[in-house]
Amino acid sequence: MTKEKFTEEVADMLGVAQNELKKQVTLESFERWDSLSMLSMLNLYDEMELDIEVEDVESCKTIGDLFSLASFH
Amino acid sequence: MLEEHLEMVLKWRNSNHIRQYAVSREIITLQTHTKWFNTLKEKGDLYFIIEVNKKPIGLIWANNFQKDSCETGMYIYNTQMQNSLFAYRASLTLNKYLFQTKKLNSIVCEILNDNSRSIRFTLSLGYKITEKKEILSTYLLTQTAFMPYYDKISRLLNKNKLD
Repeated sequence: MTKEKFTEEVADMLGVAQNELKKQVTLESFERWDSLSMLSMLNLYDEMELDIEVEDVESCKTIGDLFSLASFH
Repeated sequence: MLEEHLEMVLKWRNSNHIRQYAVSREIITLQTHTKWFNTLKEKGDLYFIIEVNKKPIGLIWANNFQKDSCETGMYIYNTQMQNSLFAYRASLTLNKYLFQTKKLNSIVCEILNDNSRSIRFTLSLGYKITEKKEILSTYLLTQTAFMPYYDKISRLLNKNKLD
């Protein structure tokens, strides 16, 4: 999956425009960052065949952290 | 849920952030709460404390059992855990028990229409809305609908973990 496609998926999941996904923005600042969004991220990483676990996603604090898990910097 | 949990659960239930999304929002007295607790066994209602690392974080329940259905509900009192995945673990475990051990055909829950997080969570488990009223709506989960969601979600939650 390309970084562009990943960005699109994350923006869609959070219900925001792609340009709102700045690295330093905290996940808690998004209204739709909840347990379903975490599950959706797990599913996305799974589709990308990445070995990401629950604890990895739960420890993410920023948009940058989500991208880092997918090795996008 | 045991008698030793009574006061804790009462405090949870009467807290503003839990009452805000409760179907019934009045403050409950300890007397009423204790009376309610004493009827649980007789009615066969099931209430469980959700714990993480042996620390209680919320409550999940199944009540109003009919021939092949019941109602369920849950809340996470600990605000730091409200966006964790433990809610999924608790719901999947209870729902699996209700369908496979209690052999129910369907589970119902009621959610206030302004509780968007709970609605999103509930729909993601395979529930479908069956009745929309002005303030409250009813959601139904059948065993047939549940199993694919259970399989998918539990696989994601338990990746790399032993069963």
